[in-house]
Amino acid sequence: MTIHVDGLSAVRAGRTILHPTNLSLPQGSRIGLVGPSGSGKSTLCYALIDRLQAEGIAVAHVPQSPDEALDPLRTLAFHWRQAERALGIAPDPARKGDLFRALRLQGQSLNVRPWAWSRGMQQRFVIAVALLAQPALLILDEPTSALDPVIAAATLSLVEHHIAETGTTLLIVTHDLGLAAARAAHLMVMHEGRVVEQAATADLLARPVSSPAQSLVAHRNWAVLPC
Amino acid sequence: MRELLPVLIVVGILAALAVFGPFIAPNPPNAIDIPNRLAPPGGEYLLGTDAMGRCILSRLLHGARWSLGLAFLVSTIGLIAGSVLGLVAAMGGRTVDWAVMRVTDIFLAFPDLVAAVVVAGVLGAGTSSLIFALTVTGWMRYARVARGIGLGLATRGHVVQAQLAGLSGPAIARWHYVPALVPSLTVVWTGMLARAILGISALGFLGFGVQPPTPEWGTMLLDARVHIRSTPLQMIWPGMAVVFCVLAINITGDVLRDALTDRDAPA
Amino acid sequence: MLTVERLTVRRGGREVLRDVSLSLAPGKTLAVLGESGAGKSTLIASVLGLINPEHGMVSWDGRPIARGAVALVMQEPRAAFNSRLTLRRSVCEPLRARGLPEDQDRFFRLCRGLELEPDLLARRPNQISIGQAQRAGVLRALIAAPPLILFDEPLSALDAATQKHTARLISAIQREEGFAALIVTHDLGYAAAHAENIAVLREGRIEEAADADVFFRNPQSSYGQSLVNAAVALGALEHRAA
Repeated sequence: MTIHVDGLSAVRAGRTILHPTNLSLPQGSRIGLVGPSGSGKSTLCYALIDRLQAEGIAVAHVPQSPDEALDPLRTLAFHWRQAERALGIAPDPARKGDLFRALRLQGQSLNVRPWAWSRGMQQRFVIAVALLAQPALLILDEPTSALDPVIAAATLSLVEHHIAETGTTLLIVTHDLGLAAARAAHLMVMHEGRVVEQAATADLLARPVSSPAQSLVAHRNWAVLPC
Repeated sequence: MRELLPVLIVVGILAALAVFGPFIAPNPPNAIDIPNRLAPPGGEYLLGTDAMGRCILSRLLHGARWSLGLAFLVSTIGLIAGSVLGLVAAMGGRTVDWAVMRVTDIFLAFPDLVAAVVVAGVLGAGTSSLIFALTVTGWMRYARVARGIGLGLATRGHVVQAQLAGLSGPAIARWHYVPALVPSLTVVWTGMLARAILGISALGFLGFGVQPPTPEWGTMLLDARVHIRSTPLQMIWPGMAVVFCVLAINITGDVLRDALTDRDAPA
Repeated sequence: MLTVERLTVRRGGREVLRDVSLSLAPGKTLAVLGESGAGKSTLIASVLGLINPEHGMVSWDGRPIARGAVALVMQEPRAAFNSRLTLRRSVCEPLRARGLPEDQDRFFRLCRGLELEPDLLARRPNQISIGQAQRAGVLRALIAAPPLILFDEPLSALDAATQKHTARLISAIQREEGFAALIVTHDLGYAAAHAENIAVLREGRIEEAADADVFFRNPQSSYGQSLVNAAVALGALEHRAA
């Protein structure tokens, strides 16, 4: 099932911060949403989440840092129970086991506060909670900025591997075209509240049309290593 | 600075009262008019007269200079002494911090008005011992607040940068600490100003403060006390003056705190 | 010449740095790579002289580093400035602290090099963009011409395009000014593009130290290898046929 939304827009304090946008996200695809800070990426995400939830489509959003998602005074078990309760589902040890195995968290005790785990594990736990709802769309917001690169890369690989099996669509939101190009098959480029270009990754890298996309493509890597 | 406006207005009115009160007073504060003693309000004397026939309104207006002026002096000396000590504690390293804060704790352990009475009693009644007694018992809160904020600032980027640049301690305090302290200390200062007004009146009432015939409000209360059954109004006027000033200052302090709360949260 | 010799630092009973030795020549750039908790901040604090090592030493040309002889560019550009002072005031603080006069020519030349409008510096830190604030941070580090400048994750608060632009400006001005740059970062892309020397710090030890060309072509340690792989997986580096 492809997710279609038409006419997403947002106005704040009389200023249009998101111009009307139509999106279509094919099921199981991996899409990168790229743009500099302040280009409206987060606004687009929140508008998309609101719309999909209104239509009854499950969508999950993982913030940049696990600090934003986890209450340091509550145990992880508490967070998990809260998530189950919020979704109105009965505790399902089998499903929990599957998710924890997929994200390499199996065998860990949940009766600890978040800070007893490493940040990488915390982030994987947040993703496991997000996947509990069996979302049609998983949004990862700047998935590398709060983690060390080695851990961020490993986490992304685990998530991609898992959702490839479940057919979840993945939306990676980032300011870094290099990251999006490395992880996504389709790219959407945002600039000043508009999606100015969308294309398959290879096409966009080879032939960017709009000037924001051209400038992102020109500066996408730090350095090129010989093969 | 717009947040400071309500404070400036109220403090301005009270300061004007303290400065110009004597000039608008209709009568000399100590002029005795025995035939009109204990006169009711109205007529020749707007608020009536006391047991010696002195104009109560004039005495209140003259007394403002003492009650408010001394309170201003006491709370400001405390502000300067307390914040300097607090900054020394925050910037001086662990040992200095420990020493300064234990001294602060010791001073805080005394119930302040009782301690002020003892100090004033030992030094002998009089205006200077009143100022000393209230200052000695009134600097600790400034020190605590200044130290708390100062410790938080020590790891802030701009303070570290100033240290790396080789800026001297006093210069760092002047440019990087004091400006950050001003909002919170202003709030504390309003509270301490109200406390000082109460303290001065209380000590005056107990006979340890400003001495008669000087028309200080607490002293006026003391003088009026024996006539409370026959002419209670005599006591009510100075009492109302104290209540009004303290209330006005406290409300100002609350408004100020609300206005300053959000702004100075660390980014 | 910066020399860090067998530096061991203990904090709270734990060895945060152990036998760390590094050297850095004037005009050169050394990138210290490592994940959070590897001891990068402790290394910076030691070089700045903010903490005392258990043993080992940090020296510049054989002498201990004096206050003011080393400057720091911080991770959070705006927090590095006093929000109550104008940027110009903060930027010139290192000069004022040592009673040096403001050299107008140098000031304007550095502004031009960092693409900062001098008028912009009359503002306060929250009135400019974060990229501009970071360039002002570099300007402050440069103003008193220290021989060594430390960069603590200088780009991580900026977005991808601004990162690359800022890094280029820093490199260009480094060629003009000739300071030695010690960059502490977890961003291998930045290191690959702008550093001549690489040191990999892990759990308080130097795991690998090499020329950048050598390191990125063929990292010796397995951890160095996984750093390079991660950077490729996250698109910071790209393998392309020459």
